[in-house]
Amino acid sequence: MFRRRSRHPRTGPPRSHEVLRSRPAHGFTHGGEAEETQRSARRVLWVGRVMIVTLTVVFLGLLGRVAQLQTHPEPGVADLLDSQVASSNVLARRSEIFDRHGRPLAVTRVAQRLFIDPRQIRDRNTFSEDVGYGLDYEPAWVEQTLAARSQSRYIVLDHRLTPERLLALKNLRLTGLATEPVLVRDYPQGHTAGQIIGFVGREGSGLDGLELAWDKRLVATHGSYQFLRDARKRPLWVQTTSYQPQQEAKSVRLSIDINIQSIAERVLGQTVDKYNAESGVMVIMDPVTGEIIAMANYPLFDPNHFGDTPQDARRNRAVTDVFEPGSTFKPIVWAALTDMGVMKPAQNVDCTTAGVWRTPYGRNLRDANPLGTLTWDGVLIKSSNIGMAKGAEEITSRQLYDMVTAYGFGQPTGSGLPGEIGGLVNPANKWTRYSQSSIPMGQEIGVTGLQMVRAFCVLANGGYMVTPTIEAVGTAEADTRPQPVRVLSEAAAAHTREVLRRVVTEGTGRKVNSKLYSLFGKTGTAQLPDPVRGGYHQDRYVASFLAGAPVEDPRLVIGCFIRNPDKKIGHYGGVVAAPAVMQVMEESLQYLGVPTLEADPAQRTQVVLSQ
Amino acid sequence: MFPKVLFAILAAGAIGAGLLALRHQRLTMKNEMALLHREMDQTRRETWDLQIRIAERSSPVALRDAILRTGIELEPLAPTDVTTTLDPAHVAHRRGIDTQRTRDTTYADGVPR
Repeated sequence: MFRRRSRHPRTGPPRSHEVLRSRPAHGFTHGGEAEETQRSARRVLWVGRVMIVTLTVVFLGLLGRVAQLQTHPEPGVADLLDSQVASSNVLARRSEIFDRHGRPLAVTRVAQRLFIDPRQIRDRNTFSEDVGYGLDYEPAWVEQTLAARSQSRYIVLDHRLTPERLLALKNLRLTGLATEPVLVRDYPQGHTAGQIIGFVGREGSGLDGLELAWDKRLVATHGSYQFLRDARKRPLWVQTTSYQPQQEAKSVRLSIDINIQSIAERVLGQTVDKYNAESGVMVIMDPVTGEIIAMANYPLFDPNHFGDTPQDARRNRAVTDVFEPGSTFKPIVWAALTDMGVMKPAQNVDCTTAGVWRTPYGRNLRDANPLGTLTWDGVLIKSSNIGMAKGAEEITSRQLYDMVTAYGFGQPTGSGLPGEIGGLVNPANKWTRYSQSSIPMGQEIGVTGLQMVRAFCVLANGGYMVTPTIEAVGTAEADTRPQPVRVLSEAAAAHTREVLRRVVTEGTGRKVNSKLYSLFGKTGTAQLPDPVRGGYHQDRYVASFLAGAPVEDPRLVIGCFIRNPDKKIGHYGGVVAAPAVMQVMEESLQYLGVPTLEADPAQRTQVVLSQ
Repeated sequence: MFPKVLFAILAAGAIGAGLLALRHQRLTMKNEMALLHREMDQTRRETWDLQIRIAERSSPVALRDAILRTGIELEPLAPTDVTTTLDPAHVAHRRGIDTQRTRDTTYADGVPR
């Protein structure tokens, strides 16, 4: 904008440009002085203009340079910029596995991996000895490891440094050795529930057990970010736009109680060792919720040292091994026959005074001892094979088949445990005449330990068939299980419990009549089948005992299965497996706070009422 | 004119210095954030380690060994308040089934025994 020049002359002293442009009003001037003033003023103006132009050019140049650096930097500058930017991972942990009370069973942490860069070694002659003696390795082994991959610049010496070795390494000050952080999986409970949890490999993926079955569910994705470094490679700041947060999955809470699991493993181990047995399994379930409270396998397996354990010991035998249940199967059939009304509790059954009965189709069945005439209740209490076979003769084979499959035999239980198999139940059209008498006494059928305990839960919870779960009730997975299904009436279940209580007080389980809790249970001694010669081994057995307590309102059902105990020491279920179950039951129920029989009766009444 | 130019230059200088100070402050804060980030990461790792150490030392097996070493004889505690010792989920399920139990008290053949 330009100011309009005024028509009227301005009064007052002249401005500088007026001084420069105006001519003298009169002929008289001060001569050189005025000229000097004018020249000086012109110089100032000129310098000012030059400075403004120069500064403008400089700033424009700077702006241009900045724009160029941002968009098209020279290769040298770009390399320099790249060397100042480094990227790093935000470590994400594989999800933890907890027990029902939140105690960690499998946790990921950061460990240090020790490796050698041979090019950085100063003195190759003494290196192996320095490392060996300094970090407690065998020097010869260090030398062999080095020699095996001499061309490599990354020779891993230890995948997981112990804290002691890490400290020693810091004091060693040896070139050529370096560490890097790696995520490792730890199992702080050691062998407790080892076969259930399984393990992960060095690459961090599940290789066995729940770690394998839930691999996708547990896996986490690392985050990343970039940061600028100074000339000495020290981090300056994180570039916020490059930050990718880590993604960790939800942790898993199992139904296992590590205290009860620990009790079960300890007692099972003592039993297997005492009877010099091949292996043992113990399963503990809550009969109402279907939660698997403990699942012990012996020999034990510590996932922290999976490489040192034979593959056979890693197996969760409770769901992968099939055996004939023997007499422990009798209560299942007995309860169903009673519920159907084909056999009455007080009905007499002739179990013969000779202890042998020839079936209508010519098969000789034997009892361990001659039992004579027994009531239907007595058949179960004395575990009579003849009595059970006579009871089963009252129904058709199809009815018996339906009964067996209604309890879930022949198919996986749906527990979600990896490697679970469904057992062996022949299709109804392949049953022989012998099947009708074999199955009621637990032969010609293959079951898993978990299946047996689940079936026993039906007797303990009033006739409901629950789906076992390895995840705690309250988690989404456990709560989306199929609803319990009634397979037995409440009255039949209660009566069967009463009869099984008598098994413990006056039958084959007399040795485990606990003074602390009222157990009900059934013993079993089943011969192992001989796959080579056919038939059964004469001196190889599965000794088993299934029990629940307290009888009036069972809190736990426990099944113990000892494979191939030494016959010279003992092989009957009531001798080998039953004491283990009683001990675990007593310790577990006390741990759960269930009042004992010795407790104040008023207190016990209070418990029953509160439930 | 000269004072104006000088003033403009000084003003520009002051603004520039102010902007530089602010920038420096921002970068210092970013640097502190980066350090805090590293510290946080380190703390996370230490927490993981501690979690494992606590779990190892308080595992049932370790506790049992410790008790055996000390020779102390321990007895299970008798429950004083039995209602609080029960798992609520357990009781809830039990109640549901108990309700059904009261309705179903006869055998499947309809004969009460």
